[in-house]
Amino acid sequence: MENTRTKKIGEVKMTALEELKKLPSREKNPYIKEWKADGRKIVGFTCHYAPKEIINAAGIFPYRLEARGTKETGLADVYYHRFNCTYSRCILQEGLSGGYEFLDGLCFLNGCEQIRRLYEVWEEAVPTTDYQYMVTVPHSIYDEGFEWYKEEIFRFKEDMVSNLSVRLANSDLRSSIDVYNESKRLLKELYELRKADNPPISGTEAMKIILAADIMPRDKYNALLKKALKQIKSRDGIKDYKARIMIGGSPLDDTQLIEIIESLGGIVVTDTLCGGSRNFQEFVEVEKDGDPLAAIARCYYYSNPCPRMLGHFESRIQYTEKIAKEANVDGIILQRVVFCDNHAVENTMIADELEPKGIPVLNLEREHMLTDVGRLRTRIEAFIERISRR
Amino acid sequence: MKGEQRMFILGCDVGSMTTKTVVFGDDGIVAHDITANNGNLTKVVEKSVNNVISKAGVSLAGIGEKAGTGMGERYIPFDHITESFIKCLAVAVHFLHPDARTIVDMGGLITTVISINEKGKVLEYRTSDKCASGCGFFLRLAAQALEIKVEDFGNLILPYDESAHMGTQCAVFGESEIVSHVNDGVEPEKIAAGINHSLGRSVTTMINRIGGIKDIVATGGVAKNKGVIKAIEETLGMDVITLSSIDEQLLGALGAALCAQQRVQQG
Amino acid sequence: MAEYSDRKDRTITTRWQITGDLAKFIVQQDLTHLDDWGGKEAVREVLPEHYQKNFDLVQTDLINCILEEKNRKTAMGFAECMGSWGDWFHSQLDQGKKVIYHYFVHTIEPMLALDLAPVCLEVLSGLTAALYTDGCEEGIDAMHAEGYPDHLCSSNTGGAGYLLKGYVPQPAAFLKGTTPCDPSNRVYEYLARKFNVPLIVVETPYYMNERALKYLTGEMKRMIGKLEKIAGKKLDEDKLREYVKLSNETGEYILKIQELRKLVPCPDTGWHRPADTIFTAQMGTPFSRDYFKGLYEIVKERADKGQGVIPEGKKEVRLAWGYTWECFDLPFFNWLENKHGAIYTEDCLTLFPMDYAMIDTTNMETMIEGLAQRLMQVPMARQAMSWSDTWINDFVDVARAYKVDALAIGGHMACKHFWALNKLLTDKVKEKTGVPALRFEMDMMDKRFTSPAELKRIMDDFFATF
Repeated sequence: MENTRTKKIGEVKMTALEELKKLPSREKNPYIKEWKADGRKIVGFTCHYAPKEIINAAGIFPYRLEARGTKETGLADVYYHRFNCTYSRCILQEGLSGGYEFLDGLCFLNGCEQIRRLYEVWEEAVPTTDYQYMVTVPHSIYDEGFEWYKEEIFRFKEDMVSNLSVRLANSDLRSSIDVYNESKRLLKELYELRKADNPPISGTEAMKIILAADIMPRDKYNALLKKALKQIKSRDGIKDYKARIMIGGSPLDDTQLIEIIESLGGIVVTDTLCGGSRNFQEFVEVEKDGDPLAAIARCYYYSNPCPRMLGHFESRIQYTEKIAKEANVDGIILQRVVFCDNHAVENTMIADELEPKGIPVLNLEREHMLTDVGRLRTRIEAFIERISRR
Repeated sequence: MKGEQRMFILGCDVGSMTTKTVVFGDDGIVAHDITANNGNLTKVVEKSVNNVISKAGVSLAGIGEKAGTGMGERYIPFDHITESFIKCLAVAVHFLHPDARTIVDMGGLITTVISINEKGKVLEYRTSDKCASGCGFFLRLAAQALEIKVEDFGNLILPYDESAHMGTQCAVFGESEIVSHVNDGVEPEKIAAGINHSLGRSVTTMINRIGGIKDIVATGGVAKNKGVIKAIEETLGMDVITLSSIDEQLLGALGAALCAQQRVQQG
Repeated sequence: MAEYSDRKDRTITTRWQITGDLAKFIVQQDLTHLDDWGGKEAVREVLPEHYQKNFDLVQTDLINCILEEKNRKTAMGFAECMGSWGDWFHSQLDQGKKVIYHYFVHTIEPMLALDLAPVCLEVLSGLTAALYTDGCEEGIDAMHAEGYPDHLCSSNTGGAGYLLKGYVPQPAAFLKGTTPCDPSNRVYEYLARKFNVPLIVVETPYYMNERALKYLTGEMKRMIGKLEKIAGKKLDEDKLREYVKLSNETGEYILKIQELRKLVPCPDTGWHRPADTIFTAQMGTPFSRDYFKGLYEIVKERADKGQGVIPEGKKEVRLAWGYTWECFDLPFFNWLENKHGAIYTEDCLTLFPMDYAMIDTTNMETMIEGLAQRLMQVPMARQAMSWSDTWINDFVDVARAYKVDALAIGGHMACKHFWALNKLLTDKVKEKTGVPALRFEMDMMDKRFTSPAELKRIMDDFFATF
């Protein structure tokens, strides 16, 4: 249920956990309202390779573009096409219908085919976003590629600072890195709790907490998450589930699919999502006299097992297996949005390699707006029956 | 008039779901026929033509010119002139409503949006993607799933927020979505109203791709559905006209006849 | 009678060889249409036995198309060069040369100079789609059978399927530039894993400036290093120069032909244009040079006489193809000329970049930089993996320089990045030049998506209203 609170932050009547779980997006998000009322800036970003620490260091609130609750794509379909995935079209729809008027800028990335062309269409058709930049990320992971990416985020930093008239010193970067590293520690702790035989938190709740990270100021998020973790630890574990599941695939910006899985007896205990476990695999390590920007670049570039990276399937399958084993899952559900090429091939390759090893995998195709729920329920139910431990 | 040689023209539009024929004379349409495409298309065409000439009281030999259009035009078994369906629509709508500047034809499988000028010349057009989710075919599927007659769909008009939400992009998943709603206990009328909204929005997107200029005229079988028309008007923010002087499905056949007439007049 | 291989892993290339010889044989006969001799069946009966089975596979419309007077010479040139390539390729295999499957954009000169045997995966799909009634559908379906979706690009999956079926030789490695798209990247990733061989990745930057060129030049050097490891030798400057010179020579012919196409009437026929990509992917080989040289001579001869390629009395309609077209129906372009007077000026997939065609052969550095520049600018790199204004401006330029009347854009269903741009591209070209566009969905290699009959209907509608 959407939160319609009008209370100021600080007069919290909800617990920290409740607040994180109920945090609404965009126009109903109280942090956005407060931030803008203070005359501060918000820069959106479209993909996990965006250097959030840098944006944050400039005193700007980085907001990951999402399309939670978008029901149709009539405006977006004028520009995009049915072969473009509904995730990209829903995001464009929100842009075109004014859902992102609060943005002062947008950091685009060439993360994938569907999203990268948003840059030009957004520039043409969403006049409220005054400032746009595209960070280009090489499609493979190697040292020269790292140098390119590092240069790209350096240029982005310079451009953003100049265009949005903000200040950004190296010390700001170091502080920002500390804030984001703290998030990673806290999220790692959350995922550790989920590994328990009787996890104290459902996958749905965990996902809500994870999604809140990128739509509120990070320091406030850390404060809430710290408190929320205490609450979570004090809870009884969940015992009545049939199967422990890991979820992976296309980005999820809401919990609908996980709710369906958990309504059918599954419990989602971990994931390989870019918004999820991939976020905290490594910390940004800055040496004493080191370059903080380089350290940020290194972390993003080298530690994100994204299927867009060509030639690294081996490390990704190892990562998938490792995460699954650590959380003692019974099966993996890999989902993808229709027309997502990266995950279509990746998910099939993963299933082909893990099934023979005795790790059950269910491949699901869906639209961003989950409408034909019946079909999904049938398939998930059958999978859970297959892998059920009770 | 009795004793005078009258020039009749046959226009035949073989669509994806129905075949439409008209006999056109000096005073306009003399007779028309709409036959569902069940079975062998050539036989369907023959049946429709026999029906229409019988209603018109003429014989095939008495027809001056014969013109054919539509996706199944090649199944017309007699000699005829082939006319482009887009052109037929433009000519027919301009003939009946000279103020038309945008035509929205919503057929069995394809929706076409055409921009025309004051002379009825085609400026630009777009046809729908290879997907039935915005068309008559989907309405037929939905009608079967909901056990409501297709003809009654148009009366099921509810505000968007009171209708069942139909979000899917695909006719196949759409059918599954309908079944999900039914299983969730949603009234069939609300689902039908939701489908009307969904079709209306899809068609509006197509209009927006080339830009709708008034007067906007809707044609084709789905144009008979007032619920869809209303949904388009609401989403587009502009009036959409359906021509009262003719059955919405006949514009292609009329246009074929008019094009043939033009050719004869030009010698 | 020629000796044809019966090796399973030469199924596709041998089929091409036979078709090439068959085409030469037929074009030299005294007929302008199969019906002159009683139709396809009757002609089959009089063919030498070793051609009959292959003849059954070839598209009837294509045979009739190449028998038309205006198309015969080009067809002969095509068949000869295709045949020479086949002979060369098989001799490379006989000598145990390692096969490198590469993406369409790659300049193959370094591979040739290292005595490797490069094969463009997309040509495996494209040429088979162009020549045969069943196209490359067997390959595409083989990939689908493995669980890979139909929204991957059939230009990759056709050839990939042939690899899975063992109809083409085993790979020593795959070479992929990261342009133009994710779907192509994913297929190469899958194939390298499946065959357990190295995947050489060349990053093509999103920009086209000095910084990007420096980066890409570095990428080419790294690519060469990896190819050297596979070849077991160092790249020799003189050998590279030999192939780059051939490549430059080919580029000169291509540029001259492009210039001639700007003439009114256009002196070049359309049926072979998609098939030209087979030889642009072979730049650096003598067959590619010979093909474009021969084509240039044919086009020049017409141009000198002020001859066009449409029937007398028809008004020439000058079409440009803004992106892809159907590879599976080459006679379609001939039909456009004959029925609608619509000639083929340029397209996005063979538009050779005027300013970057020639590579400086002074030394290894200049050659590698030149190859990098070429890679950055060729179709499927230049327009696809960069900002949209490059694409838009290219087509504004084409519309003006070639006096284009309309832009036809067969939007390949797998091209998500194109479809995301489709409205911007067509609106802006129209805004700047007044040229209208016809957009339609199709699959480049798979005619089951939009059939040849449907495509003709789409064009008939367009010309009726044009």
